[in-house]
Amino acid sequence: MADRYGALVRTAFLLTADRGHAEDLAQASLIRTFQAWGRLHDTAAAETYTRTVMARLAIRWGRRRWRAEQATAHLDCVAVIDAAGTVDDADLVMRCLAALPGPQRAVLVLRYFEHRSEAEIATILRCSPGTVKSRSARALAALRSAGFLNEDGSEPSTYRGVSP
Amino acid sequence: MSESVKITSLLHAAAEGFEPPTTPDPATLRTRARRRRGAQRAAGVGVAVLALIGTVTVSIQREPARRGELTTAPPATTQGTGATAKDLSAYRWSELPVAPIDPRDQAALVWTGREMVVWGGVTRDGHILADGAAFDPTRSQWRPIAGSIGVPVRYGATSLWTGAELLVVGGQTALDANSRNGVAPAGRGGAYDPAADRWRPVAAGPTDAERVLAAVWTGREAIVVTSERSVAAYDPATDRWRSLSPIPEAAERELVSVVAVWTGGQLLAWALWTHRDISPVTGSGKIAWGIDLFSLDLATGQWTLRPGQGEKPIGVKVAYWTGEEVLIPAAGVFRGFSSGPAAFDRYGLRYDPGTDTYTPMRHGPLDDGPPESYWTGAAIFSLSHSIVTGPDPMDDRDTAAWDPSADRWTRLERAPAGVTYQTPLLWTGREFLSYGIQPARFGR
Repeated sequence: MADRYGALVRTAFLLTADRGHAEDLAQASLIRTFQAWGRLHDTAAAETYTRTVMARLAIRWGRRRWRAEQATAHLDCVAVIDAAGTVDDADLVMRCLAALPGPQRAVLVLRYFEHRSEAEIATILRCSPGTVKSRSARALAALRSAGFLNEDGSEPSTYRGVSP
Repeated sequence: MSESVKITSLLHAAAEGFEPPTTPDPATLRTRARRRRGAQRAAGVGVAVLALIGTVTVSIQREPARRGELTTAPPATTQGTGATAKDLSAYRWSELPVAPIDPRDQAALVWTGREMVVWGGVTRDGHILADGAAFDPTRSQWRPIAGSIGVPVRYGATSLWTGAELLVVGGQTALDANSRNGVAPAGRGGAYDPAADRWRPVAAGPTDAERVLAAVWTGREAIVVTSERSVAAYDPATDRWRSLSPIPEAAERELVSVVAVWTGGQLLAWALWTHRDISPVTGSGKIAWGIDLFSLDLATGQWTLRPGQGEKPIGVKVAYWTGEEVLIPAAGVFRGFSSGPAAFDRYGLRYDPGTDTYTPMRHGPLDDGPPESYWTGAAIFSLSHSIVTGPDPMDDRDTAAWDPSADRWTRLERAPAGVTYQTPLLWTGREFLSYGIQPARFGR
């Protein structure tokens, strides 16, 4: 039980890019799963159902609660250097994810973290496959502009370390 | 590295860097459920939903949660002449006959030399089970085992075969609304004698209330390391525990996990530790981590730090004693409570206790997962639970074998859907047995 709850909250963390909202999102999704329990034909589908609810709720909550988010093509990221002197990529990634609009973030998470197909993502997010493609392209372009996907492995242009 | 692989690794690194609570406080769920549409009935059941989901197999999981929640010690050693990588390449997967007990996860599981014994565990609908069964592979028959009267039910227990009994310690029992994360330690352990088909409770010991990080069988005693870094030995002949010196890791370092192996004369324990020094005001600070190897001489009760020569491990999940060396299959990169990018081109290590030296194994086709790894006595068998695209692709349930004499990997037949990383495999000396939602065997 503990393992799966942790995995759900981690996905929620990526979907919300916010530690505080992650657990709220996971718990709200679990409660909705319970409320829909009678309609679930296969209990093995419970986690899949919960993850679908999480993705939809994340976008809905993002529209309602996090209106301060603005779509951007340029991500300004600040890295934290950990005790071993290496850059904490996770921190940097989360800052950049947080700067993406919710729907783009959801597409990235579903495509590259949950390994869903474009058709599946379209079904989950109730949009067309074309919308999935365009959101994915815009999100990747933003990450490229931040230097995350440099083929040569060089640091993002906006990288700057902060000593602990 | 392709763009898709890179972004996948970045997302995994970000997710692994987030340390969520293991389970919600049931009281919190209760309050939330009441707030939402006054659904009082959702109160305790919210936890039940979690329990249900907790047993559902999910294929996409790069690394099972290892931080702080290692409840089942890895199998200690499997010695003797076993199947080689070449032998394994001729093996095929098949289903076992239907068991006389409900399907379950996180059951206590041992190979007795004649039977696979399964006990306890948790069902998909969250029921913690007190029953068990034994499977005889030569007859391909199941038999129910005696009820465990006097031994608390549990899941996620640590199980060892002592040569005469199934020893079960640690694990969790029914949901407990008063505990911080909604689960409670299982309490006293138990021992099952398959010859007499009888259970007995084990004397009260440190595993009753503390999480078990590692356990090994020395041939006479079970040595157990707990989350409170206490070390104790249990002698089934006298039903007594004796305390041993604790692992001498610095006090401020928190033990995340311990991987232990018995080499026949000494206990080797890799301690994976972390230390957080974060200001509650500014939120900034340092996170340190590391892996230290200690050896315990049972005769003197003294621990010795082994600094190690050569390339030291960056992660340890399991270790196997071959009779000559310790094999440490590829594991996830350990970063304590910090995070970082996913690592590629990983590989396992061979450790020579005589010279305190590590040497690398050849990179395996599933090592970047990393996979679950088992020792047959003559080969490492790896089972993937990851989906990785790019130049070194793998699917979940892909398998491979490593030949120690040639340092060479061979891909094998993919496992069926019922075999997952949540389902430990047992090596019988002839074949692998798996008991999970769908029992299976991998043999000739």
